[in-house]
Amino acid sequence: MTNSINQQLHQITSGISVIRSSEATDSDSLLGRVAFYLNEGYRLSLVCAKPLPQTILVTYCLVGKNPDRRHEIQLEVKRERPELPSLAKISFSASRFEREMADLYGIIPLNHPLPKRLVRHGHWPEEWYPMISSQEKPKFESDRQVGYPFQEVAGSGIYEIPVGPIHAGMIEPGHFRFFALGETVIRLRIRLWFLHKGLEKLFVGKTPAEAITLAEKISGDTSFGHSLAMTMAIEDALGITVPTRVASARAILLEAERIYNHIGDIGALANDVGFSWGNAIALDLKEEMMRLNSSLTQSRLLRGTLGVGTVKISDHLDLIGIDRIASKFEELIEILTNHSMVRDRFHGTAILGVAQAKEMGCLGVVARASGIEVDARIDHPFMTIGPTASTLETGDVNSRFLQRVNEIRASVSYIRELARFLRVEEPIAQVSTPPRESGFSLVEGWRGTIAHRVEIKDGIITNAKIVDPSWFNWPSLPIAMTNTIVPDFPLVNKSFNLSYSGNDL
Amino acid sequence: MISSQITNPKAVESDQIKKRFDPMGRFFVIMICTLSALVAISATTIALLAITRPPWHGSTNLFLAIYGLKLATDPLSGVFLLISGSLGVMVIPHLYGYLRRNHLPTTTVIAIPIFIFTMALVPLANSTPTFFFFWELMALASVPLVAAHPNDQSGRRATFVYLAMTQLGAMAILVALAIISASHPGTPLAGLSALSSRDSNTLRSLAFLLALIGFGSKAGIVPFHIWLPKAHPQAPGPASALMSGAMVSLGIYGIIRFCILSLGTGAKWWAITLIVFGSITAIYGILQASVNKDLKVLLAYSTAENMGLALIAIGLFQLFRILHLPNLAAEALGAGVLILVAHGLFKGLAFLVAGSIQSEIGITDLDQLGGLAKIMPVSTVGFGIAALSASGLPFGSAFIGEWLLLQTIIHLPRDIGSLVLIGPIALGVVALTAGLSVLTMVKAFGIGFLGTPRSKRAGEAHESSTTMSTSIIALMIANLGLAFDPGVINFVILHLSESISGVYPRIALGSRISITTTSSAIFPSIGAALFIVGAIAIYLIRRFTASKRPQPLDEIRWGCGAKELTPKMQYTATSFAEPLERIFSDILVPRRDIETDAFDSLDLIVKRIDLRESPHDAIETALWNRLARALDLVASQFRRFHNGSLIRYLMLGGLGFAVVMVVTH
Amino acid sequence: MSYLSLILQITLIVVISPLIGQLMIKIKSKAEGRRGPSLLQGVRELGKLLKKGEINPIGTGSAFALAPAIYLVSTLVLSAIIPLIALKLPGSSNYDLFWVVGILLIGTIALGLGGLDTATAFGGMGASRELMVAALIEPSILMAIYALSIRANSSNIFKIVHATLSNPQQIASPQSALALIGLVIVVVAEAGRIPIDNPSTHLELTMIHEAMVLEVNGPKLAMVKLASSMRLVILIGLVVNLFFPIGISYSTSSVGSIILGIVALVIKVSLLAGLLAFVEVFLAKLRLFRVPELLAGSFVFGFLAVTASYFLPVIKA
Repeated sequence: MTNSINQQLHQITSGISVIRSSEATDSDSLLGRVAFYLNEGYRLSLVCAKPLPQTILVTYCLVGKNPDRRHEIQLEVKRERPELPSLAKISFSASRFEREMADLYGIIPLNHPLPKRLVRHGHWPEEWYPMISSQEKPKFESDRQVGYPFQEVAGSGIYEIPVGPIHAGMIEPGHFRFFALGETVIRLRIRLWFLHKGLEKLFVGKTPAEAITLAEKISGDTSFGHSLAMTMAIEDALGITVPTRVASARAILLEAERIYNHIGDIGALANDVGFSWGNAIALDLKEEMMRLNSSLTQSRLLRGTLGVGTVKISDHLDLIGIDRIASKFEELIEILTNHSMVRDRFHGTAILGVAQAKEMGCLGVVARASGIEVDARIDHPFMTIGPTASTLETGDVNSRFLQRVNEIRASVSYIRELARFLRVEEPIAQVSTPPRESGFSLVEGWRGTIAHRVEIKDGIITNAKIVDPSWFNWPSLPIAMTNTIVPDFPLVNKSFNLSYSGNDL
Repeated sequence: MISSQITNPKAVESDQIKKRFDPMGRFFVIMICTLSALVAISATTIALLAITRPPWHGSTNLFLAIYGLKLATDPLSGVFLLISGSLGVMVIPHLYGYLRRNHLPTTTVIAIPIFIFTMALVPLANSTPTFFFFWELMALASVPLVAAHPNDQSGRRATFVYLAMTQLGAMAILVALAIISASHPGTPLAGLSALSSRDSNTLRSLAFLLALIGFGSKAGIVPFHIWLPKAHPQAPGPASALMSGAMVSLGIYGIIRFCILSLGTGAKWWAITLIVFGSITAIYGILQASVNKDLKVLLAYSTAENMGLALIAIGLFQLFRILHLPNLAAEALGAGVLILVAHGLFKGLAFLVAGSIQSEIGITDLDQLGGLAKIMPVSTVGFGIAALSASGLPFGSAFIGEWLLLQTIIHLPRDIGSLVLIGPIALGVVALTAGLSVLTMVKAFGIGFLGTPRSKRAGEAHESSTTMSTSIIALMIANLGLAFDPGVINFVILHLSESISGVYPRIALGSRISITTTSSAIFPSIGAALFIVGAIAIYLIRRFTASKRPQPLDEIRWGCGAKELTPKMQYTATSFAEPLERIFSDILVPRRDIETDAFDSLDLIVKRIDLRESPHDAIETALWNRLARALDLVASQFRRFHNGSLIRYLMLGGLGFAVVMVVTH
Repeated sequence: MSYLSLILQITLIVVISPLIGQLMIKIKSKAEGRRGPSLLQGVRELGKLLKKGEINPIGTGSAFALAPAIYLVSTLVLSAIIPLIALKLPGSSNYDLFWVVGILLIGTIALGLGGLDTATAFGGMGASRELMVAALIEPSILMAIYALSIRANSSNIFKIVHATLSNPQQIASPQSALALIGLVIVVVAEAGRIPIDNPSTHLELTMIHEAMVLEVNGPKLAMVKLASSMRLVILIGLVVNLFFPIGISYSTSSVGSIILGIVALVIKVSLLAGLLAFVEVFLAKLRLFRVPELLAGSFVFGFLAVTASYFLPVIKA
């Protein structure tokens, strides 16, 4: 197979353009092609597979910034012998996408260093792959208990702390296996994927409107982020450009979601250091912000607002309300940052190094707190103006806390700037480029960059792939926890605050 | 190092096979035990006579042609004789059981009665040559006990270190005794004749320091303690019990006899030196005990801790004598003696249980034990009582001694100037020691005996034989007896104090223990009665309300959704130690490596992680190993002269002679 | 009459403990702008737990089974051996403060061993942490006792309180203030309150006290909960009476003075508990390895108190 690269310029919003390209390759040159783009500064943002009658089509989506470039590399593997070369050597993220595909599609990554199951449940029948739709849904033997083979830490004196999947709090299932020596965590292993919902398969056969509603349920706290990503992916596939007014309204709501979640996280951080007063103030603020959401969109969680080419938002944006929240927030931050005990708990706890964060492809708050400049609002914008970029260096709990603080501040002023675009009168959304088979979107949700890729045929979704930033960030939590003390884990976990649901689709 | 040898499954297995095919003869064992019992019983009898009757002395020219053997008894020697004698008696059944089950080198077995005999003779010696003769005899007799595993390297190293420390101590003692007897030749020891101020102060101070080093090395005083954690795991359980419970105490006997009584009142700094060494030993000992995971090593370090506490008491005794406070001095001495007596009993008990575990399971590494409560109930209760005592808690035998020590400290008179600072410092030391010993003993008991077995061998063990249990039960009763009614040794304290200080201490030992001058008192039995009343009340309430509750259910433990918890999910002894290692890292200097074998350079995809521990004694590493290297260096320089040339040797000899002649003139 | 006042004292502690614990929660809630549960919530919880059937975790032994009872009994014994409402209780001449501390430790140890006996990571982890705190707190406690015993020339707890009562000017001395600070830290640590432990957390990994008793359930949990709240009240009561014994009954002969003693104790304990709860609002939980530093701090206060007692002149009435 020869590599033929197609390039084209594409508009998302009036005034914003993207350079896209794609190529098809074979398994021999795959490694070289991906390596080439990674060296060019692209990052692997999504890998998806689509079963075809004879083959499975695997697509590697690489994205680059300055300018916004998106490149797709496609590879076909045979149904009867589904194998592809593992890219683990050059990309840690690829190694995890490969394990996911192995579990869901049965595609075997050759020479994979850690070919253990990732998404698969222990009791699934061996030869059954849920995303291969031609297969019959098997009978599950619920009593077939297969424990996950954790890689143990050798040495007597090490003990294991099993935590989860059932937790003391109201959180989703995840199993944390600490290999600890006294209070020191030698290595943490995390086993997620307890609730495979078959979400990507659920999208198949849905109309765009249904898909946008369904996307709100990918991760409840990121309702708007995910549904916006789905909307934009669909618009991208259909070749629709939205007017600036719509884009700015979307950007405002995206920031609103960021603000209420970040405030909640900051409160939770205070709570996890036993400073419940701080949490009480934060909860109060979060409630106020959610009421503001409700006044804007009739939904506290910003649901039900998006449609293809449109967004429903109240005409009255309560900027005074936002200012009030912002000033109360500053009071809270003053209390928290001046509290010596809180500061001591945050400082130097669970440092995530830049090198490791970069190698794992971390995104969002976690990445920016470790000094990595990655922000879809700047790198892959859909609005003509962007927020002020900010990163921190240290990568400890304190950085992740301060990063959230800075982002809330930036969001507040960003909303003020965006507000003036709401009044711009413009024509409605229009089809500006010819529709294509697939659409791809990158949206900076409050956790980080969300990537969606859909394929549409005859107004019906035929394939969907969703990547929540948590997918990239989860592996970095154990790395940050190494040599951290056991009782600091809840705090560290909260400082990452990753999504279980967005990760386990 | 040591534990790895013992727990090496192959070594253990071959050991087992040996046991089965080469048992110790029943007749031989009975003979050894009878002999030991006879010695121990007579020692106890003499001890009781020595304490209650007026001092006796006698001599014979039988053994040492020049000086003759001079023996005497007084209450002080009686007390120490009583500790070794009574412990000896109680250990015999366990010894029998142990020898019947474990194959030991014949020299080790034969050494046991000799060892008990010499231990009994040491406090009876009444002249410096006699004393030194017995002391060396005891030291030599104890060496085969340590050399019970001559075939493994750690065993040989332990023997070597023990021998080296013993001989270093003996050298120091020899010089000290030489100084003492040079100025007062032929003075009997029991006569309490002291070197007086007419003797050179420098010489006396030198003798004091040398005796402190010499006897301190026997008592496990830091930094001369390094043989303790090496020797004890090697010696068979009953021998460890005797060595730790009785022999080590003789080091303190030596310090009382020579550093305090024979050398006279002395300077204040002597007393302070004793207190400082005692404090360092107590804290360092318990810190090491709290971070070690081998049961016998832990107990050995705890021995050092207790000797430290006793030394603090003895130091206070010395200080109060210098300050002419005879009553407080008597209290301090009483506290010291009670600490030693209690230590003999509870450490004897603990080492016997450790011996049972060694004999039945072959593992003393706590991280491979666990769950013994269900399979070795007598040993578990025994260790529980020993641990309660070792923690210095109420209802434990060591509490009374430690309480008296605290009472002496808090009743320091105000008018002794800056010396009152000794009070809060010593109390801080005792308190930290007590706190850490609680942690250590909870670790040892909780990890070793509770929970579920961490290894297959621990899970398959059985209770030790009835004879062995007899000893354990006897020592349990002795411990509880001392805890609830220390009046049984009241006469010891009274006679001792009267004979040394000339005053009766104002301590009333009985079921109620009080210091008559201060209205401080404790009454363990009342506390126990309150506990019993409370327990009955709760039991009755539970009984009464039981009908209103659903039937109890057996259910799996909470595993956060997991059905099974593995034994690896239990807390470990190493883990118990880790927080302390962090807190006291400056003292303990922990050594631990984590080896990671990863697929990538950032350790993101890991193939294997291995935790390598290298437990060590920071003082041994920092001081003794360096000293050994330095000595080695010096020796290699000297070796250059040893080229085998006869002429050179003659020349060197002549030169040396000339130097001696010049110097002496 | 003296036996009656003993029984009264024990009953009083049992009865007010759940209420005081709830009072602290209430004050904290109010300070944070929440309504907080009713004052009777603690009693209701105990009642609920007592009605529940017991679950015996498979694999645990008698140490686990007995631990809650020993913990509770040791706490009941504590409530009988310290002067809370009256100065002359039966057996009071035998209750040495060092011994009282030992009884306190026995309860801690029982729970720790119970935790280790569950053979779970949490049980052992909690036990290790609790004992670490207990071990490092020992010097602070004993030093404070030392400081207090100097002025009474006795470590008998009743004698110390008596000495304070008959010579109340001593309280205004620097050594008393230093000892008080040291002891308050001790109480906070011993009772497992913020900043050392967070009694309201649900996160197993950060717990100290609660992790040890994670397997304890039903009536046994009721015992542990009751004993824990009793220990807090006893410790607070001990501190207030060591430093402010106002109102405590001199003798046990008059009913009026005993009632006064009860009322005084309830008021004093509520005030101090309320104060502690209010201060907690502004504190965060310390990092586990900062706790030793705090305890070392309380040791230093005790040490200064002792040296001050020796070097400063005695204040006599």
